[in-house]
Amino acid sequence: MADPAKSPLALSVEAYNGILAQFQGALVRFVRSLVGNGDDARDLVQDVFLDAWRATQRQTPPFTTGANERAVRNWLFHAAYCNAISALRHRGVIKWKSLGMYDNVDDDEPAGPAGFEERIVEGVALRAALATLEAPDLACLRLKIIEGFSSVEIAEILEIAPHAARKRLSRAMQRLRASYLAQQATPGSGATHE
Amino acid sequence: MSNNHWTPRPLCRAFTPLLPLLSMDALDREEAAAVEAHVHTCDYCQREMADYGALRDAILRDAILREDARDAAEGNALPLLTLAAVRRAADREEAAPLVFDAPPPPWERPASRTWRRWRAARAFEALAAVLVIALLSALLAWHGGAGPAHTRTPTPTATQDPISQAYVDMLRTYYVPLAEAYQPAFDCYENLIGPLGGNVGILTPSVVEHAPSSVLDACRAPVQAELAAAQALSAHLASATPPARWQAQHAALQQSTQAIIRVASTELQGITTHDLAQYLSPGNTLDEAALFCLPIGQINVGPPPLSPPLLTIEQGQCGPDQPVPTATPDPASQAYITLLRTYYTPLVSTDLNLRNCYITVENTRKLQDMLACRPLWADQLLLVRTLRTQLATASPPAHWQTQHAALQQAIDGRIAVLTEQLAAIDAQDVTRFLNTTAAQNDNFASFCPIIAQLNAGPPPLSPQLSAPESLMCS
Repeated sequence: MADPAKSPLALSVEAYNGILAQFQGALVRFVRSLVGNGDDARDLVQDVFLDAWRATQRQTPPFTTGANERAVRNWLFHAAYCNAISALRHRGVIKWKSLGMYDNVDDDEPAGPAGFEERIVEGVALRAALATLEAPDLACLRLKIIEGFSSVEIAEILEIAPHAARKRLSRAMQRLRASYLAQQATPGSGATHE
Repeated sequence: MSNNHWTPRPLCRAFTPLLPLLSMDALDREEAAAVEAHVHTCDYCQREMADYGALRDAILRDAILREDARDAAEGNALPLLTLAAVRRAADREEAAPLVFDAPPPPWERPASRTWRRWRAARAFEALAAVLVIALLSALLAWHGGAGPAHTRTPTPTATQDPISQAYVDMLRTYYVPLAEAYQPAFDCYENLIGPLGGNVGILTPSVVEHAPSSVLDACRAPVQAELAAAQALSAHLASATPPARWQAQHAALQQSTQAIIRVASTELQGITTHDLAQYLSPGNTLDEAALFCLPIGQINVGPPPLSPPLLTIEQGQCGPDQPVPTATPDPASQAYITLLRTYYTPLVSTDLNLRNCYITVENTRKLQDMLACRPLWADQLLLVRTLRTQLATASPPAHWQTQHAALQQAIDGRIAVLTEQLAAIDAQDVTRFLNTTAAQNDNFASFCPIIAQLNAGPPPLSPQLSAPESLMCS
């Protein structure tokens, strides 16, 4: 295999290693939130970094000397999103059916100093509401709220127009709120937290 | 968070969709200032904003707490992926191009193999990898599956375009006999080398001197047959017109064929003069024969997918496709793709506006909201009719005739749906509009497999070019 470090434009192995270390955690969490399985998420993220390695060898932007960190991050999340959606399509699951991103790990539930019970109740209702969202809507919310991407960046990652990304963000949040309120209104849901 | 029964003011309707964005800092400064100014004076929107803010915080808090816990619960502390693992994976997947590597020094060659067999073994590994990829691609395509890089759902039974078909026919006629003729010549070489010491890389002059030159006569006929087949292929390659996407493969095949001619000629000369050293000379080891493996494997895989892929009706409905490697389709395919990019893509890019307008009407069931959608529907109908007109006069390549017909059928269905929706709008019948729109989802879905098939590009060859056994490619 050619050593990418031989070209002045090529990203060094050290730089690639830095990207790997910096982003893999967030990528695994992001993909896991969509596919609902940690092992699958790790496989899909490995594919992302394999593609990134090939791009590095071909000196394809953004994997070149002086690579823009935002561009690299966008590229990685775009590839991860596509892999996750592709995996869901293989399963025939476009609309996310499991609790996924917020699978119960109650045994490991960290107890905050205050509001423990409130958080449990809030979490149950929130996860139930999130489970009603389609994967692209869930991805939008996560990219914005947790990863801090701008709507323009989200548009690039989802391969949609910026105005469409904003509409999807707005729609996802409105749907989440409606679903959350419906959870609260459902008798026996246990989500009575105000 | 609570159910909100405050009464919205007329102005709230304009700001409601922007409240979630404001809560997520997704508005620009001017927009945010305008929305904040309204929220400041509006109890209803203040309550809405409070809900969205609470949801945002809950998502963030829940994600942080639970995902940290989950990482720990899975027992796989990050980082989980190493550079070495990525490189190993890349090495495995890039085995095929190794046939172009420079030969290793003699001391690194396997002692139990002759150099010629070593190259053949390398070629075997390479083409095996290529053929496995081809087979997997074909299987994925057959099952409508998708590889990690893109979706491939071509129709396996589709025919090639005429230029590609003629080129493949030429290869079936002239390449396959060469591959078949190569095997006896190769066997003869092996049978001769074995008793002499087994490894041409370490063949000593004394071994050559003591070998009976008469053994060479046995190889004359197979080498002559090999040379004749190579010359025939070379002549037809020279006059062939490959499709644009196979120019590189065509050049590689010409190079490989010339190499075989050169080697076979030298071998034949050694046989004629009973010069064993010349017959066994390093230049006769047919390294270049291995170069057949990659272009033939690539031709077997078939033309590559479109780059960039055509957009689907809505990315969220059919799923996004990853960028794929740049490819050059044949002219007929390119013209058809250009037509679709010109007339189909605008239709797709405006579709989301229709969906959003529909969602608004679905939520409010207000006549005025439905009437506000009319310009969008009228524009969409115009775009679809324009596309239909263009397709009616288009000349699709042979391999996309089926998709062309299906696309026209889907568009006809779309026109019917849009026309009915416009009629419902003009009749000011919200219920009819919503019912018709709900029914259109099936119509949308009919576009997905067609576009996926077009994006996958023309299909792999069927049947595949073969004769790899005689070249030790498989």
